[in-house]
Parts: sequence; structure tokens; C-alpha cells
Amino acid sequence: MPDAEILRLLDPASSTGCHYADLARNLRLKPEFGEKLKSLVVSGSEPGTGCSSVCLGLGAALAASGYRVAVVDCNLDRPCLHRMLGEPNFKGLTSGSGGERELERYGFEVSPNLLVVPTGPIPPSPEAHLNSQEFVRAVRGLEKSRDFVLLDVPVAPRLLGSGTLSRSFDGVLLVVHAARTTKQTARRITDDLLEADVNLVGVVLNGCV
Amino acid sequence: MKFTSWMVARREPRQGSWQSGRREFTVFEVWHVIQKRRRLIALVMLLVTAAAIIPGLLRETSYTAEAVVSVEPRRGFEAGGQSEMPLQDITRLVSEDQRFMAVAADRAGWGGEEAAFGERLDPVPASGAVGETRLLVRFSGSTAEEAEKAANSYAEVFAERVNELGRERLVGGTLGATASVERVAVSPARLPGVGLLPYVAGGLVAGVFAGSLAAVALEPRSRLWQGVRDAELTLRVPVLGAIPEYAPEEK
Repeated sequence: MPDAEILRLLDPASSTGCHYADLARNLRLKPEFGEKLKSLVVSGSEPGTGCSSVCLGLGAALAASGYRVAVVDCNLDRPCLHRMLGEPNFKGLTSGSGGERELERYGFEVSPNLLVVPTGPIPPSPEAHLNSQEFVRAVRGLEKSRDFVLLDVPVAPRLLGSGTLSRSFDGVLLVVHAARTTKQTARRITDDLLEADVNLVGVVLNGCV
Repeated sequence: MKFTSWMVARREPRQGSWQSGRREFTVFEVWHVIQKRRRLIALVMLLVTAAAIIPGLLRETSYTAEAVVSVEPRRGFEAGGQSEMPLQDITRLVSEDQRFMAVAADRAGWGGEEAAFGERLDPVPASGAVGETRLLVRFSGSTAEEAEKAANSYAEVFAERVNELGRERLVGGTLGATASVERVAVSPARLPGVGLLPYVAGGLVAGVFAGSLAAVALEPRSRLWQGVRDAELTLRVPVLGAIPEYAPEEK
């Protein structure tokens, strides 16, 4: 069972939810949203920036707007979405990447229109799994049944090291923590992403005081 | 939060092309940093100005008196092929006389060294009426009386020496001139505050410059993100949302 803070995160009417509603609205204002932008990789400038929270909050806000959203936990070395929601992790992304069944079936509905797919059992080689075409096909398959897919992925430096994660999906959303990330670090990461020709859709400033 | 589309149009980098200017600070970013750190700049400015004023306050108060010596050609002197010596040469000739400074200092009642007397003295040649030249004798003293006495003493001794040299016939030329004290020096009034003005002005300018440098140097290490605008100016990409701190730490 998710704790009170996570429930507040998932509630669009809460004091926190309204900020995610603004984020969702600004994302929807993008001209390519919905057609060319159906899958979004969410990554942080460094550990602890709150990518998972942003994925859940943004997913809940989009779901409240009527979109069918899926949030996929791709942090194979540190799965956390299922912990935040108080759900087991016996099956998930790694289970569905085999192609036997659609990835949709390995997730759970957190709220109406919002599906969360945990990592599932951790494979011996997480990096290889994230760089595999099976992984890409499984996520692309989700786009057929969902209007929008959010991927909670490892931090940006590792994202840059994975050509699959950085370029196989429609865009990247960078999360920066207002109290932990220095401007120098954030600027450098942003420059590196752009230099790598990644489609950086925008930045979320998390943890504002 | 309203998303400003004009910011997107202006800031969003073109996908597929690397803008080489991203790694450099723009003037607009520097101005934004300076505006953000106004207090730091003001504090540095105050400290630097205070430090700059201290030498001015410790500087000895001085009074400057001025006497004027008029040098004109000797009357009735008709050159029989002899050249008239310019005033600069007269001044040099007189000042190079070792006894001259000693006599002037002695007559002024100067208690210190002759070198110190000479450092406070500032004779300035000036033009006068046609055929005449003048010497403005300025002396800076610790008191008004000291400045007045020293300026007048030097002027008198200078005039006496010029007249004396005129009576002596010099080899290579003739000093065909006479000198007289045209205006004696009077006790000057102290002008407070004017002396501090350059220190204050210099301190303010240096303080603003140093404060701005400090602000720009500290900015990259800062974790003080002051909202969406600050983030957009720093990162030069659209900031789609600002989420307040609420959640437990994610490991």
C-alpha cells in the first residue's frame, strides 16, 4: 500500500498534484506531443533527483487528463517504483521483454488510466537487457495500447552510455534537483545530452523550496 | 505555472545540431547573475570602499599655499648678439644650486630635512604678459602658516637669485632678466573631503567589479535555483515544470 506522500503525488487535486498538472500541460503544449512524442525517457542529472516521483506524478497528471499512460521502471540495478507503491516485483519489464505476452499484462493499475510496470526479476546483465531490441520492442508494444509511455531510467551519464535508451524512444526529460544539483553539473549534463544529439524535450526542476 | 512559448522559441536548441556557443556565458546570463547577487556585490563594494578610504583618512592633512614670481627681461638690455635664457633654464639653473634650497628652507624656518622641503615644493612655470614669464610656487605644508611661509620664502629667494645671476655675467649667455614676487602667498583654507573623493570613487568602482567577478565565479557552484526563469537561463533549455520538495529521499 503506498504511503500518504505517494498518494498525494498521485492525486491531481493535491497541493503537489497541481504542479504535476502544470508539467503535464506544458508537455502537452509541445507540437509533437501525441503523434511523434509517445514515449519519454525520464532521467536525472545525478542519483536522488526524484526521477521516479516525477514519473509517477506526471503519469498521474496525464492520466487525470484522460490519457492512457504507462510508467515503466527501467532501473534494473535499483528498482524502486514497486517499493514506492507497495507492490511486489515478481514480474515486470524483464518478464515481458521475452515477447510471450504484452508488457501491459505485467504491470498493475495504480489509478484509472495509469499503469505501472515494475522491473521484474533482475537479469544477470542489466545493461545488456536495456540495450537489447527485445526491450525496445516490448516498450513500443506498450504504445499501441497506451497513449503515452514514461520510462524511469538510470541517471543521465549512464543514459548517454546507452545508445538504445538515449535514441530509441521519442524524447528525454531531464530531472534536476533544486537543492542537490549544482548549476555547473546540470549545465554540463544538459550540454552533454545535446551534444550527443539526444532529443531533450525539457527539464524538470524538482525539490524547489 | 504558465509555460511561455516565446521562451521555447528563443531558447530551445535545434535538434540535430550542436551549437558551439552553449559552453560560453552570454552577456544576458552574466547580467542575470549580477542582478541575482546584488547583495553580495553591495557587500563587496562596501568592504572595498572602506578599505580604499583608510589610506585617505590616514593621510596627513595638508595645506597648499601659492606665491607668484614674475620674471621679465631686464629693461634697457639690448642684446649685442647675446641670447636670452628661457625661464625653464632659469628655473633649472637656480634649483640646481645646492645652496638655494638650503637658503629657502632656512628662511622658511623649516625644521626638517632639505629633501623633505623639496618634495613638498612644486614650482610651476606659467606664461604671463608679452615678454614676461611667471613661476607659480606651490608648497604643501602640515599647517597653513607653514605652507604660506615656505612658499613666500622660496619665491623671495628665487627672485633674489635670478637678480643675482643677472648681475653676474655667465659664460655662454647672459641672464637678461629680473625677477620679483608678484603675489605673496596667503594662509590657505583647508578643503576637507575633496581629498577622499578619489578614494571613494575608486573603491566603489573596484568594489562593483570585484563583487561582480565573485558573483559570476560562485554561480556555477551554486545550488540556489531561483525558479524556472533562473533554470532556463542557466541550462538554456525549456523548463517544463517546477515541483516543490515533498517526497522522502530516494536512494
